[in-house]
Amino acid sequence: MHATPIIQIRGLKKQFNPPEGPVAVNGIDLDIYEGEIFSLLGPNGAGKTTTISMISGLLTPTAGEVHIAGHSIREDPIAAKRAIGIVPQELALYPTLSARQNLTFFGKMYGLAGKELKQRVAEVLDFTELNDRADDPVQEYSGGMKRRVNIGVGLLHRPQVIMLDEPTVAIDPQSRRNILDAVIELNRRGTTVLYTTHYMEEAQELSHRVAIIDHGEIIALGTQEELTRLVGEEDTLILGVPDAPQAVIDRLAQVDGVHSATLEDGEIRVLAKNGRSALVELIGVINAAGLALQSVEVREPTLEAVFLHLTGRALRD
Amino acid sequence: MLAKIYAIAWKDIYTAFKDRNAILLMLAMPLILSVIIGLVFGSGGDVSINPIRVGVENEGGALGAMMQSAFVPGDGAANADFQTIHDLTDGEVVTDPDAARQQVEDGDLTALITVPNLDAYLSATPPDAAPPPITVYYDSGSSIGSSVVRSIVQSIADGWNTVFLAQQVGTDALASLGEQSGIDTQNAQQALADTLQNNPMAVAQSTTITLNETDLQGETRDYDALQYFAPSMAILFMTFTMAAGGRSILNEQKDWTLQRIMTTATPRGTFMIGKLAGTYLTGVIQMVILIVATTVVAKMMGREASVWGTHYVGIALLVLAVSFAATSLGLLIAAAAKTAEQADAYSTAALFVLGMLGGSFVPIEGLPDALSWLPKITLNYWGIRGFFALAYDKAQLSDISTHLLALAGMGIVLFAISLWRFNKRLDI
Amino acid sequence: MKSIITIAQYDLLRSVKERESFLIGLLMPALMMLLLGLAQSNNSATIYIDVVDNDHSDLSRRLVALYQEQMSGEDASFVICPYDGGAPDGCGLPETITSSTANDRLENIESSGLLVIPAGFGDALKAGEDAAVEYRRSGDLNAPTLAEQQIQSVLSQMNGSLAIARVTLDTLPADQHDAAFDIVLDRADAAWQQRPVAVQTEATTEDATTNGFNQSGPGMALMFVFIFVLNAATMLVADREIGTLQRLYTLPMGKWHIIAGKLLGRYLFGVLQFTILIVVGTMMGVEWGSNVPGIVLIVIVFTFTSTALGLLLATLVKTSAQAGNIALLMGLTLAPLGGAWWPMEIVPNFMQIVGHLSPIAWGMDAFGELMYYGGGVIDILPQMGALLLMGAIFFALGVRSFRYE
Repeated sequence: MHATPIIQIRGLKKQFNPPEGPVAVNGIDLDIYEGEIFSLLGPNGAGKTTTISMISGLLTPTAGEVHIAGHSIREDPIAAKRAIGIVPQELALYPTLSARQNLTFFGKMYGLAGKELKQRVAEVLDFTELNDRADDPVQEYSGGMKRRVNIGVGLLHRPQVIMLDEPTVAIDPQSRRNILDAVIELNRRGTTVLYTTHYMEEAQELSHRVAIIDHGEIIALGTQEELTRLVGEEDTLILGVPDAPQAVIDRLAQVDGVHSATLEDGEIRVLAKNGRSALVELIGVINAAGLALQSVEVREPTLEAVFLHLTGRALRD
Repeated sequence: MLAKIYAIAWKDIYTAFKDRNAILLMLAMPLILSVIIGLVFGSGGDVSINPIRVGVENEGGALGAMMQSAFVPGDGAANADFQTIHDLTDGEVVTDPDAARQQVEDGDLTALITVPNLDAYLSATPPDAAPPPITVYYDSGSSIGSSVVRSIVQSIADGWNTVFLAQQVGTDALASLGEQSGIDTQNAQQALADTLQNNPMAVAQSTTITLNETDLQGETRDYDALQYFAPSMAILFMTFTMAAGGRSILNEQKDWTLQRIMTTATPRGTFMIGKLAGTYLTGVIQMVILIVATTVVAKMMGREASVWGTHYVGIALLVLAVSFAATSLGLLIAAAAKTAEQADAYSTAALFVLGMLGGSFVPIEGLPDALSWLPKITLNYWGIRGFFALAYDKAQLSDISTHLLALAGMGIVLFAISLWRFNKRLDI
Repeated sequence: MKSIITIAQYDLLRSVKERESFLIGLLMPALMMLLLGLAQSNNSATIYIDVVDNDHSDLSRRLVALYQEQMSGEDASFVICPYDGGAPDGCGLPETITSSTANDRLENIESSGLLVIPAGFGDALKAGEDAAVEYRRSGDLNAPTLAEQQIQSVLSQMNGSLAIARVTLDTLPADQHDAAFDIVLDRADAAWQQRPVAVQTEATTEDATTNGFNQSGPGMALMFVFIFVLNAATMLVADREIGTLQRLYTLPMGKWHIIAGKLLGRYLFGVLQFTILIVVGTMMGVEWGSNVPGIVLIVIVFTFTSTALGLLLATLVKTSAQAGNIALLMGLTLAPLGGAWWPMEIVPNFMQIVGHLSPIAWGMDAFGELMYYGGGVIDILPQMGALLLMGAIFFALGVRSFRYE
């Protein structure tokens, strides 16, 4: 069903201040297809924003190519840029101008004019539910409202693809919910979405496909099912055992069907094939060590587990 | 493209006039300065001097008496002759020279003039010895006042020199004329001596050739400080506003609005021209407000002569040209810097140095010949000279064409370099 | 006390690390002083005065010769350029001289003045009538004032000779006037070489020549230090913006310590800048007076007052950009108000009083005491007292209303 890649990335690499400078993105290949929500999931500093910046032409790649809707961003940037809308991580707005003024200004920058411009601005204000405050200066808005204007600007020219760079950082849960709903709604209307985040739950909820990025490289790519299959049928068991010595954790890892056992935040995380059946034996080990088991939680495979599986680290900062 | 340029320019002007801080820099500052300059120089065309305090010590004799009536108004007929000096000075007769010297040293008197009794030297048989000099003891701290006093004293002394020399030279000349032609010039010599004895003032004050000081158009006028300082201030402040305008590029980069514009398929050149246009118009508006404000303040101070002249087309063209050059300079500084803080430091340095070189703080006239071209690389120089030529010299358009061309040329070259620099930066 | 020094030390370290502000802070004052010195020391600048003689009479030529002899000879900084088609004279006159050449040169500031002797000048004088010469100048400033004095003084001498001739000829019958005129005039001109009544001038401070640089040197130095140090306010406000000030405030030390530490760093930097300005100024010929303790006292006290004003400014503004602008505004208004751009003696009395609201005026007065009146520490105590009082008021107000967020 996803026949045409609307964004095609080949061998994309960015090294700042070559030759000694840090390599932020190290050879990425990606195809993003029309109509999908594609998430780029990775911890802070993994290279998500650098990738987005190269796709939108803000940074020149050290190597590699990006095509958007068939246009090379390097050779035909104007045509390529027309196809994308970008929602940067920063609130790229003029604080003293109102939402309407901001939208109108950037609309003009997208080449919109006259009736069409007015209509698009009205549409976006509707969509972002900012009509009530449309004429107040943006600097008087709440964090969530500012985020909505920020997204709205990227939608003005009805792009084929919209790229959102961590749009939910540092806002309250309700605003976050609004934004996620808006993304789903946009996609329902036919817009392709490229979404970067370091929140596993968001990627999990939104995406058709996910690429996991770490240290500038794609370490896993596929649908959620495909990715979770990477960790096998493994479940995550979270055992609440205060003060568990390392020897006990090592012993837990020896249990049949257990892939790994680690101590995190005072909890023992165990990855095990068919976790429920391994649970009996695990409890046995803990009892034998004379430790008290205070809580048990069994989690089905998640992207978090995938990341942990692939990197040995948790996704959180 | 035009629509985008217009949108960027309008957005910049709109935000500038909504920003109290920008308004302060653009309007309040220069207005305050206009008022100060207006108060200092506004009252007349010339620099207004407070009466210079002078002490005259007369050791007896006609010259001393004359010096005294020159500086100290009395009730004699001489008052009329020395009206100009009386207007400039506030003289007093000194009886205690030591106390007076102390007053000069304390800065309470600008100068103490001591005139020896020279009457004996005027008599028919003057003594052999050279006459003692007039002394002027003056306050080094008052450079202008003391130089005025010194030149008045010198001119009065030269009047008396004329009388002395007429005595010697005239008598000698008449004698040798008598020898040559065989005519008896004894009577003439006696007549000369009588004239000099009876009416030395007439000879001393005789001015055969007068010096008419005129401007380029041959009209008599004095140097006008306001006509110099008003444009020099206006231009200095405008350059600071324009640098702030250029700096807004870097602020947009920090806020990511620049990046956002770059993702909208807007070419960099379009963005830069939009920035240029917005900043430029702000500069023009600032200049116009300043010109109006200084004119009004000067009028209120009772000044009659125009501050900026009456060649409105010339003024308008200069405003346009100088604002253009300043805008491009601001953009160049911004394009050369990486961060707004860096641009701030660069522009402060550059604008102060250019202001100094271009004569915005103090007129720069005396650079060594090898460096005399230096001021001409500044837009301040061409702007100030242009406005001054219009106001003071009543110049015509053809007279300021060099100024206009230099400013426009600077604007084009600086903008081209800044555009090139901005385009050369691959990553934003 | 230790915490104050630590804060000051790290602030200075940060200044040094910001290459630009360090560069601007130290190099720029030196550069400005250098430029000003070059422009105002006046020792190598040549002042050209063009002379157009439309009369071509013996008397007009006599006047031109007198100018050349008296001005070119006496003071090498003047060059008299007669339009007589004579040998090249270093004036850079063009090959072909048109009616507008002289005015063009004047307009382009290639010459500083133009003396025009009108036709009929000689005839009028011979006939015992009055005559006039015209001295044209564009609106140029420093040099021409000096040139004008010289032009006038040479003309006075010519007038003197003519007066002598007249009073002498008056004693003779009219038919002998022609024959006697030249004889008397020649002798009179020669006699002026030795003026019987001499004017001897003596300045209160002989070693302080009142050149322009002695006025503008201290003026510019005070203005720059004032603006730079006032800029310290931007740093305080910037610290507030990025939150480091709030963090310091949570530490167990007094409010006063934080402020003192913050200001001490800027203050020391200001003293350093002032020192550089004075050193470079001295190299360029500013005579600051011979009283070194007095100079040091001015540096210490003036910088303090400026720093305290910077603190007050920091309490009044919200953003560092605002602080920077207001610092500039205050510097560029209080400097001319305080007599840094032109001598106070030329402004009206009430403006002299108003001007003393500016700390710069007191600084200028103090330098004046040292430079022109041979003053020492004792003599500048009143000015220092005024500056200290201002500084104390600014400081007290600043500490009282200083906000941490």
